[in-house]
Amino acid sequence: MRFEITLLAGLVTGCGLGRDPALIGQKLSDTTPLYNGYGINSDTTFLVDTPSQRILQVDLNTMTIKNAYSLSKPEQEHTLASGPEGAYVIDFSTQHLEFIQSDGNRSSHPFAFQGTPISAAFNPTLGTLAMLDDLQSIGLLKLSPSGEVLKSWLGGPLIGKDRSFLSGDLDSQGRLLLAVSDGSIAIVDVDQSINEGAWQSTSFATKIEEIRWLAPDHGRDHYSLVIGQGTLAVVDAQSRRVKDQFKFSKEKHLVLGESKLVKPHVLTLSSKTGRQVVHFIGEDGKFVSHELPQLGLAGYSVSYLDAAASILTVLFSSEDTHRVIQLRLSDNLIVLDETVRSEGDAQLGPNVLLINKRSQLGYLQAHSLRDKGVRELKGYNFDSFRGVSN
Amino acid sequence: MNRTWMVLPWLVALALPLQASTYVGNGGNAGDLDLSITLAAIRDSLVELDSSSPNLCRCPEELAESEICGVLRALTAPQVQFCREMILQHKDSLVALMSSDGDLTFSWADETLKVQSNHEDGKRVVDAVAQSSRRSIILNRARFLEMPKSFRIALVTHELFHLVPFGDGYFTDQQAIPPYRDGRTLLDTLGAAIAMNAHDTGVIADFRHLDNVSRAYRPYVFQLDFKTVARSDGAAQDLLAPTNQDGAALTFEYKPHALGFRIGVERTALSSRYQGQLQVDETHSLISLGAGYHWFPVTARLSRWSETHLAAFVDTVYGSAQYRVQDHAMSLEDAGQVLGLQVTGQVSLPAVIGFWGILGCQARYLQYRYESLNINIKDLQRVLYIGGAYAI
Repeated sequence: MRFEITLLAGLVTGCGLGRDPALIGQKLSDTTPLYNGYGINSDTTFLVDTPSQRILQVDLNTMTIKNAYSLSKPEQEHTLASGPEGAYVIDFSTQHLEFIQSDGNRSSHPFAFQGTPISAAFNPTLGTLAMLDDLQSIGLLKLSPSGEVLKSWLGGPLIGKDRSFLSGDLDSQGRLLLAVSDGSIAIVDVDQSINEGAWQSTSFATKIEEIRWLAPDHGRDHYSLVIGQGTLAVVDAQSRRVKDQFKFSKEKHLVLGESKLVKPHVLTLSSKTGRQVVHFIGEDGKFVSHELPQLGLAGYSVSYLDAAASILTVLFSSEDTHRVIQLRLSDNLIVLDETVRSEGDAQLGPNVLLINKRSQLGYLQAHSLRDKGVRELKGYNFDSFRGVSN
Repeated sequence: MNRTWMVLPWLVALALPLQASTYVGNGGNAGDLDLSITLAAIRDSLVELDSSSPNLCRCPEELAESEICGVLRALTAPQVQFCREMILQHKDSLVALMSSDGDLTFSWADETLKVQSNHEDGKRVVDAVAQSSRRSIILNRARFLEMPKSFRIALVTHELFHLVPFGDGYFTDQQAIPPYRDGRTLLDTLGAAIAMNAHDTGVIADFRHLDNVSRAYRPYVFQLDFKTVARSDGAAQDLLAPTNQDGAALTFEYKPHALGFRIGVERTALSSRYQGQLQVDETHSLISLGAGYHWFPVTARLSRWSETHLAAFVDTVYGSAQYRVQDHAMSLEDAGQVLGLQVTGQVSLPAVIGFWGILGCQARYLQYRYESLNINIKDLQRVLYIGGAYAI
């Protein structure tokens, strides 16, 4: 029964049921991730606070509000991305893109797009941003370290004649890798594309159909992990070929989830053994498939694999329960098994589980994964309701 | 003797209380309604009298058990005859004396009244004193209000006769008036006769509808009010609360005279939803201490409304406030100490057997702070209330 429940959970989460549409980078959220694909963020996060119609920058160490910015177009839904060390925040909403610097200066509308941004790939170090909206417009931007837009361009989904993109991401060199409908991978030169006002790219074939997920391995960025139809593969942009492939149907695996944090990896469930398996790119560009201990857990939310591929952290979340398991891959030692019973949305960081209780009055809980202490930020919207600025 | 009774008023004047309030038909005193009823009963009783009134100065069989009737039962035939003659002879003078055109005034005394007498200390305690030179009658309020109606009629009639010309002067208590021993005995008899006649002829019953009217002179008042409080906009905004809240107050007042002192407890509460998202609750528990002044604006003498009175109070207010705002995930709470001042105006409308209807308004200033929420409240409130009181 336990296996069957886990299997069912895997089916629900792993086989495309309820999956996100094709994305570039990561799905946008109203809270900036505590990790990004390029390393660990600073100890601050930005979140959209709808009751007070503000964007709040929260210091996770002191659990205080560092900055608060009024929300443009508060009637719309907003998502965020943040610059390095929280130097600026990018506010995405329907037909609206705004860059808010730490001193409160704002700039907006680098280009006119018609849809609602749903995902973005962002390299804060290089200041390169690729944004995708729900009408499949792709915005390319180059930003200064303080968040000023240096140049930008808005492109459509057709990379070439009868070739539309399916998914993609930025690598650590700032190139935009796009999986294309003909089974190829397009390597887009972002700077040239912006300058020319047209897609500037080279491509190589993979023979992998319907690549719905592409994740550059930032440690060795000529490798990318891709999920296509019935297959998991490593593609090499340098040699322009498929380096390794793993057939789900042949191996009888179901995909439970995939993550680009920090090192891209995919979790599957082996129907042969009933065990969960994590797959990532090894040193030689070949797959490493590591069988995990029997955890028997459902509700996979997000996972992180550290850059050295030594520690896997998995968050399992339900409406009121959040469980964090940290596993040392060398010997499957459970380093951490922490359950937090608290209603709200959970975000996992390197050492903290941040829970936003979606309170009108404002309520954040930071559960330390090191000392298991809890720090809270409560009632921060009360003065806003009263019309008192703080 | 004439000199004696001429001196008497001056001596009595020395014994007059320092506090005496004047009834001049404008209301304003405890007992005015009861005095009005007494005078009206005397007047109505006199107007109906003529020589054919069979029971005048006699004790009717049905009233035989009355203490006053006993005075009449002891009369001799000549005394009965003399009594009848005196009343019939002077009834018009008495009616004229009590008319609104007359110059007769009544005063209340809240201290013991004494007159010259043969007692050891030369003084005698009395319930009333007539001052013929001033055309005034002074009544001991407490004694008057304790008396049954018939005794009041007898007492006032006795004093009225002191102001009626008799012989070379006026009736006095000391003078010998055969067939009675002295004037006092005669006037007591005349008073008893009028009182019994008022009963016998049904005059007393005419005013029965006023018997149960609540009397303003009752000094101990318990009052319960239901309030609607309108808060200042600033306070309401600070607390995410509506400007109106409801409450109730219980007050005890001691008002021996027009000035009263009171203590009250009050609880007001609000519970509301702010923008449909936040539940806001605030409660005030207050104690008030203050003083007030009562006065009577209604001049209608034979009306329950003559007991209607207005009052103005000033109270200090002290208490506590509790505040909570919450949503589905959390709540913020705090409490603070309240200090304030309030001024009140109210009207008391007499009901029956000691109950009153109350309408009032207040302006008050409350100040308090919720420390942890960093909220300072300075609230100028307007209050309307309706309530009831019971006085004993």
